[in-house]
Amino acid sequence: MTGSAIAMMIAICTLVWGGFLTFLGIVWRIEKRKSAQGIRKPHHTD
Amino acid sequence: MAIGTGNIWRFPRVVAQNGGAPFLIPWFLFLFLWSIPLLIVEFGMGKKTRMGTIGAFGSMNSRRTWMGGFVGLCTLAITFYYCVVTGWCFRYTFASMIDLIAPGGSMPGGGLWGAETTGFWTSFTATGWQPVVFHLIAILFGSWIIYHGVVGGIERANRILIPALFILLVVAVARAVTLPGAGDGLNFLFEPRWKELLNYRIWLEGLSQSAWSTGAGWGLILTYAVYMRKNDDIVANSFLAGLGNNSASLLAALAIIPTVFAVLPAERAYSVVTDTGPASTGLTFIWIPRLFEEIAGGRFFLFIFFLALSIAALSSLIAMIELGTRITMDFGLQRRKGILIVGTACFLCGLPSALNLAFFQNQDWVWSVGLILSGLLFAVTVINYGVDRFRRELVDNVDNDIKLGKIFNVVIKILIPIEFLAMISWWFTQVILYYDPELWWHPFRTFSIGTCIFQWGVLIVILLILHRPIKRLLFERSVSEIEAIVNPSWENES
Repeated sequence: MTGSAIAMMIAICTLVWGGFLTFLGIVWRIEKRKSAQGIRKPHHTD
Repeated sequence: MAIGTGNIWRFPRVVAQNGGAPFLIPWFLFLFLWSIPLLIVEFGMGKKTRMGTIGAFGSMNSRRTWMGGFVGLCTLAITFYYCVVTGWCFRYTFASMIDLIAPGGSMPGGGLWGAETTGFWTSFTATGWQPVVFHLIAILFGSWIIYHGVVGGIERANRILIPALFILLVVAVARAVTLPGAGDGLNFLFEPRWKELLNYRIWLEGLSQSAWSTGAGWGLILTYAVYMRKNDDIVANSFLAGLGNNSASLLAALAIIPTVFAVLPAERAYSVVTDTGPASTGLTFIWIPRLFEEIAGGRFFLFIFFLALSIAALSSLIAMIELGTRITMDFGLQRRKGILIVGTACFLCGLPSALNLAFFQNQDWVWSVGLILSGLLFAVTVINYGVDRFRRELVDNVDNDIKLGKIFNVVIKILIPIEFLAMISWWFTQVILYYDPELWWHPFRTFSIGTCIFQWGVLIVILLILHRPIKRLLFERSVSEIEAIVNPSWENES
């Protein structure tokens, strides 16, 4: 692989997968907090 | 919605046909500048109006009812050929199950493994009757599930199978990128060739793929939101769905494209992945078995992969049939009659796509680009309603932890209309002046401008002619009828 292809791969994968994992954490925290406050039962999101 | 055929079947084909890396840039940008904002709009409109697409647009502004009709019918047009894709998934699940039970047994056109994979795909699609039979099975199965209200069972199966599909994709990627020769595939996928960004097609396909795969502008999220809890966080869920979708898409491309380059000589691999002919529709179905051949226990995992893909496709198909059914219910039809009508329409209108791959490609082209128009119609309706009012009432309210602020207004009011106008005018001028000056207008060519204008035009003209009767049917009903729609009986049935 060329250097520019490696750089592009790292950039795209970091942005996409990093963004996904970040929001997965955010949604999990929101659900956990609402569940603790008795607003709702935890449920899955897909 | 995060993982399904949009990621696994469509994305690797579209990214390869559009040259790999240059395509990834518009595809990623449009996630934030188009798809996620429209997902938020759909969630908001569904939660607010509690009606299907036509009813929801009409509730926001009765003069916009026809727009909801366009959105709903554009998605139904996608459903017609989506049933065919779901049928393909079923066929491969069945074939991989037979192959698991009786390894090496003969199948028509060759086995699922080795050099025979292409022959299997070609003979399957060429038989005519096989795609039709599996198309019918997909519709019957999807309609039966909704008819008997057992959607919950599919959702429970998805809780296991979707993570399984995700894990299998990760394993597949790990194997694909370590195959000898896979580096050429990765180079193809990630080597930035900036000059290609000047090609309108990359941007147009990037936008339509983002909308197709995330579901932005389909009206499916709007229909789902009809049944949503009031305090569900629509902003966080829209971001999660969009990014999850792009993550799965990237995994699918990383599994398939390096495999093609590892198995074939570089020049041949390049021509296979960039092929835009009817055979290209089978890219995933041909190359996934080739990849699993390289993994220990490949026969078993291939079966699980296609089973999970089939269930994911079926879930999306159920949502699409539900969208059509919801529209018929808004017109006062009983739920079960609506399912029968939508199921029959899907079978009959999907037949040409099942029988002819060139027709299939035409439909995929016309209605995936049609999603861009659908997206604009959503934005126009919110602009007409008042973007700031919509944001304060439905986006930046107590139910949502993430507040978007005025950036949401800018995206909906300014960016989406500009993106639409820029894309359409760029596409038209490039094709009319340079790419296809002779036959761009032709209504019966697979990828022409004319075929899009013709098919969208027919739909819009019919909707405008029927606008008044549609409005009367939708909004001039008794209170009890409206209550029956707001509190559908199927909730009790299931």
